Amino acid sequence: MKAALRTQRKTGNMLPGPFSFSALLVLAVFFASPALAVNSSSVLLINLHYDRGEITYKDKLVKCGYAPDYRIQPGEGYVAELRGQKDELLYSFTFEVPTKVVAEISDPLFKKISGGIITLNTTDFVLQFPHFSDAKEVVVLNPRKFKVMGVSLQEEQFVPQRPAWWWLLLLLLLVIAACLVYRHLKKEE
Amino acid sequence: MAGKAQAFERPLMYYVFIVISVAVFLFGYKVVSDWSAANEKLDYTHVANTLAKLIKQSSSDSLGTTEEHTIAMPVGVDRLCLVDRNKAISPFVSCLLNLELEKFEEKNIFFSPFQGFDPLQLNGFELYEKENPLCLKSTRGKVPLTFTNRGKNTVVSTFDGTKKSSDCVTVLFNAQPENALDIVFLGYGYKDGDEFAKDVKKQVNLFLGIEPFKTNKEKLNFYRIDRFDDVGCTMENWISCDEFQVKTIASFCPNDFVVVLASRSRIRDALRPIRSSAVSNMAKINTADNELVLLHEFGHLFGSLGDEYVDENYYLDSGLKIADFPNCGDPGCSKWKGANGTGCFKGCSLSSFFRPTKDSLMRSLSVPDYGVWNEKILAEKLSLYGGKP
Repeated sequence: MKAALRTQRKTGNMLPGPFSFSALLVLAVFFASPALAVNSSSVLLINLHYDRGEITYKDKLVKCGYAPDYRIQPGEGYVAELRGQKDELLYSFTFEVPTKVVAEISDPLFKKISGGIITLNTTDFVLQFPHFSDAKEVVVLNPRKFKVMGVSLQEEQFVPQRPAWWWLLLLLLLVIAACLVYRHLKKEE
Repeated sequence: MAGKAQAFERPLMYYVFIVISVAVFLFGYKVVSDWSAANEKLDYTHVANTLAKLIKQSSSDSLGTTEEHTIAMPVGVDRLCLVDRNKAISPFVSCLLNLELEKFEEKNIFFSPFQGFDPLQLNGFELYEKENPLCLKSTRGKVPLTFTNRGKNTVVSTFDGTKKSSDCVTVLFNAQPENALDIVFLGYGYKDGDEFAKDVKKQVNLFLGIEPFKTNKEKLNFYRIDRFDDVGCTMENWISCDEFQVKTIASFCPNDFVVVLASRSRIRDALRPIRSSAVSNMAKINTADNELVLLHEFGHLFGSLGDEYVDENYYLDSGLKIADFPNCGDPGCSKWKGANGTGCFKGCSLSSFFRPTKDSLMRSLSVPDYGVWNEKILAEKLSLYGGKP
């Protein structure tokens, strides 16, 4: 969230005030091109939990940084997909749930190594995607290509901050009230 | 009539009073905000003026003279970043700074947190190529700088290297990340950044000294992250880390593979041994282990290689199949039959499986050599990376 959701500067001489800033954002949203916008310097991390075949969502984060390029993928396994606003495929890769941990011990003196694979029933793991500003959902398909989980990314979209209108409204109400009392008083006279 | 008017006069007075109070409050708020903004502006002007003055002063010194100065920063600034727009700028020093550089194409002085402070533009200075951008941590509101007269320009650097700040330190950069195998090192349990840097350098040298990485080094990039935040590691029987925390930090660098070096003394480890481990695209290495253990674990991660030693306590009931590992075969060794330098040796994870070479890094840590067959498998994977540009 660090980079993607930044709003405005404290002493922004280059940026207009909060009202016109919001107006510009609204205009920008209206006139935005529907083309895919990939921000290569941001990464989306999805934290998941695996428990005996069941995958559940834990947490997500969009931050400035890099995602792996996934040049090496298992031939078969789970598939992670990043879907866009019209459900189009933006990015995908195949992965194995990391339940097989190789844990080994080495002897610094005799240079022997021993140990092996430990299979976990339950573990947390992370899926990393390059951040697409128009991504709608992360979908996980099991090895038989059935959707086993979806994570909505809608709330990641930027929501412009509403300007503080309350004090203007209060002032207006006070002025109207004062005028009414004054008029009433005049009438009475 | 007069009584009625009097009765109405009082609330009118109240309303007028409230309106005036609100107006005074709003006016006061605006005055205070403007005054505060002006003060910040004054701070900026002060920093810009001081830097400009010192650069000018340095240019009047004799050629090669270096002056050391400590510059005061505006309140709230935790880092000062200088950028030389005329030289190649490293994209790894600060990810957030990269966004600012795109946004403010003319500016070359940046203050972190970037969203809170406007950048500035200053002329007449340059940076060393290896220090571009130069980001320095502000300690007690001050940053240490040096100004060296290099004739045409003044070179700005620092006299306190410990104040340099970088999200991602490039240890060895050979190719653009999209064309390279990017390996990033994180530290756990280190008290000293120098010790971590030394351990990383040792591991990188081991990588570069062994085939097939030795002849493919133009495809390898190595980075380290010098922040020792809690990566959520525990050392019970083996090193286990919070993957979300590790990958959040690791993502500051290009990260096809992540290595967590867990600092541990050999004496402590002799009393209570902790296993190094490999899973997914992440290796967790106990530094008290043999130094070649990372290459062994990387053989698992990168090449999907199996262990060529036999440990049936682990493997007998694991449902292991010959097809699981490219370097373990049937008694006929059909997988590598006829390949130069290979044989058919009994024992590869299980005693009923066979391996291609008598000894290799996947069997013991006595030879810094994967063996011809394993080298071939790793080289095939490396061929997926194009290297430069």
